Amino acid sequence: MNEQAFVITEEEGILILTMQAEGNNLMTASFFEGYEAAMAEVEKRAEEKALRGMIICGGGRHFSVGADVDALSERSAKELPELRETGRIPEGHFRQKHFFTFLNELPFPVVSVVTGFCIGSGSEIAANSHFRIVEKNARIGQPESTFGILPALGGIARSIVHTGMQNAFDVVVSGELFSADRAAEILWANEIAGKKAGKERAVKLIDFITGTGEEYTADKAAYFYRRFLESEVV
Amino acid sequence: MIIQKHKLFTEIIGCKALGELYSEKEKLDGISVLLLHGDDMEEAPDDAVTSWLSAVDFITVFAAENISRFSYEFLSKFDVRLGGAEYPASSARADDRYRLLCGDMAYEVLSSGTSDTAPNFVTVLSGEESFDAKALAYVNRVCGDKTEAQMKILTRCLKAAANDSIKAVLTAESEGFYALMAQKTEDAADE
Repeated sequence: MNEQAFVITEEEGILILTMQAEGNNLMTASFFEGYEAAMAEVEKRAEEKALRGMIICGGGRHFSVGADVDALSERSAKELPELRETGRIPEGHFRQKHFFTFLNELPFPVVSVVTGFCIGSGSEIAANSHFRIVEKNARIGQPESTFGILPALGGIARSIVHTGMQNAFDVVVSGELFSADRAAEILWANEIAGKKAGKERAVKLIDFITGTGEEYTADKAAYFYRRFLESEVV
Repeated sequence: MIIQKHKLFTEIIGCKALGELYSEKEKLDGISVLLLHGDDMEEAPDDAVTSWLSAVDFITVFAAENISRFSYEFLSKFDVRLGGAEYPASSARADDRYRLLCGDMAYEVLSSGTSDTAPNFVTVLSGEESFDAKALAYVNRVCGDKTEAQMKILTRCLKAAANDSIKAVLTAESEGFYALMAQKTEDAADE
């Protein structure tokens, strides 16, 4: 993996994580290694100082094409003897899962700017974020079920929170990819942005939340987003 | 009433009231998904039936072309609703159940009173076929060619949200993933 696969910068109190690993952020074993290190750094910075928000985006055309299924099968094959022996899910899974689900616990707004393909475990990064701004060209989905498995990094839980049981049934069980328009229709996406306009919208949203002066928590994300939209109508 | 068993779901045709379904509930043991065609149904409030429906461990899909003639209290007992048109916001209620069924943002929109329709409450089916055929096609498409074991695990994950909590879904996801991975590995070794 290239040295600069995960770049963390800070602009006016907003952390920006740009993912630009090989193969359009194909989630290989080395991707996960770099991702976990980057997220550990995010966690450390969040503890050290007051941040206003975080933006996650892909450095190229795509957010992430998701996990390398062969690598996933290989990793699981190594873990299964431990599972059979102890009856417990391997610790490595919980460590990996933590670096997805902790995004939802951060005390400041976390916005994923979704471009191009945002698939499988890649879509779980976006789903664990508090907000998803989706550019017009995006194709999103959790196709794990079509490979005989399921999304296990918070994808099912967060699909229910964002789209309700009504749509999570379709998104998770069918595993079909969907467009930006469909993402907005089922409210998986907060909004659709024009090409290359997603990051600007994310900054605007974070600025609005900062400007309210109110305490921010993830469970109030929808409330803040509604007020953000109302502020733009005036 | 006809109980039609498919590989991954069970379809109920010609049911007149939920009590009729309840009286044959043993026939639904072990299923993953129930598709109930409801255009011939009438609401008949019954606490025992309501309690049973709220606690079942399979996904419940209610389909009715004229879905707005049913009350929110009745429709919200189901996990998924298929209709011929959106459901009016004035008939829905922004409560915890709505939030679970439709999502946080839909709940927020309904609470704000800014929408004429209840967001995410009904999946509108369109097309030239009969409504029952469209509902059947929807469930067939979603279930696809999964195995029964996979369908049960997916169902368990989704129902954990309804019968327990979102935290329970996170646990169910992890357990389900490794159960399915173990199955895949065994299948690959057998080939």
